[in-house]
Amino acid sequence: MPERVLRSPGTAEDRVTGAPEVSQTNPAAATLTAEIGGFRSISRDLNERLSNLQQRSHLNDWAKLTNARARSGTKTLLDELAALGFAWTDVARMIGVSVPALQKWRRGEGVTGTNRQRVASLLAACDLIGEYYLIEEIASWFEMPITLGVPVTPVALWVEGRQDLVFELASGHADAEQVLDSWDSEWRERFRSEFEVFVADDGQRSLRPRTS
Amino acid sequence: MYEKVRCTGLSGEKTRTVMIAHHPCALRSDGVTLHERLVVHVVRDHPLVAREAWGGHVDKMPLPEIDPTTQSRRRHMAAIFEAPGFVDSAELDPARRIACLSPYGVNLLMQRWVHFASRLVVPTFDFDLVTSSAYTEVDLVEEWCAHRVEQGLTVAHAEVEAAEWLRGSTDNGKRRQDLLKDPQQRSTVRRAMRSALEAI
Repeated sequence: MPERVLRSPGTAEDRVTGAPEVSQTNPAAATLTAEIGGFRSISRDLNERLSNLQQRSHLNDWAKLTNARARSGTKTLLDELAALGFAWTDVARMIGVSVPALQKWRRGEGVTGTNRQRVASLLAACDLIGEYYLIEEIASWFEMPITLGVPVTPVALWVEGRQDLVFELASGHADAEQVLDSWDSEWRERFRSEFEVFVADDGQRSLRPRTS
Repeated sequence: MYEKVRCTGLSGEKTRTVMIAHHPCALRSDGVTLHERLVVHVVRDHPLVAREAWGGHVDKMPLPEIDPTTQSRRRHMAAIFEAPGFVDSAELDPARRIACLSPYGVNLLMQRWVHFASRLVVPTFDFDLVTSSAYTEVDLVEEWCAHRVEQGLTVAHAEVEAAEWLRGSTDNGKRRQDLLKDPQQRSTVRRAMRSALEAI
């Protein structure tokens, strides 16, 4: 009885169009889907390879620019970083020395080859980011948090030796969240805060628990 | 951190090694002049506290390897929160300064001190939101003074000059000191200050 009901065409038997038969020997749709999946895999693979290639090419350009920059004296290099607006504390952290060490170099005192190379590499990175990715106010870009509410800046990435992420961010090939995920997959938890900044009655910034 | 300063503490006046406890905004009365007396933590020799054991030392700020050049007991120290004191700001001669915490170190000190005093733990990055502009300003004042002292000014005179410049306004009417609150504007103020110094 139920079978009869289901198969009954009712009064519109002649006009009802049946569902197309699915061939078991020539699944055209399945083949197309598989083909698209294959192309997408190829595209993903190609994208990854191009990204790696670009990164290598980028590092190569950076190394060349660093060598060119290292021809100048350390004092000249530091003067250029100062002219860009970098803080000496940031430059010191990025190079891995103290601020007094930078002050000595600025007065013309001796600097090791490695440190001279480090100063040159920072300036070369600024050249590269400004030239290739058209980022203006480069020192400001370096000290701005890469996304709102997360106290991670390109300076911090550089200090931790993640120059690759600094270039990725500058290039726009990765967005801030992707960069942060690569840096520390637990950043969302790490920087979750229950406090907010407000201006107290004495005009100074203060902290208080978040109201919402 | 200063050594050999006269400090008035719980056991009277003694010569001590101390660490200034104030937030940078609270050190000066008018933006230039230090308060006559400042609150400090007494710093003592202390066995090395391993990083994983810091949580068990709520009543102090460990200072490991504070003097890595010595093998004596002074290699590792700690600022003791239970031993507060006062020093006259005139005692804080730069020649007696033996160490300086990084901005992260200061945030950590404040986190530990607040925790000790109130059992409230504030993340260091939250402290940074309210201290970073003050440190940027301090860095600029130091740079200004270093430059001007080389040209023959006294530190005191150079400090006044730097404060005047920072309180001055830019072409669009904004006070430079206020611009430092926005990280995006800091490099612009630095560049302007370096140009101003060149022009003097």
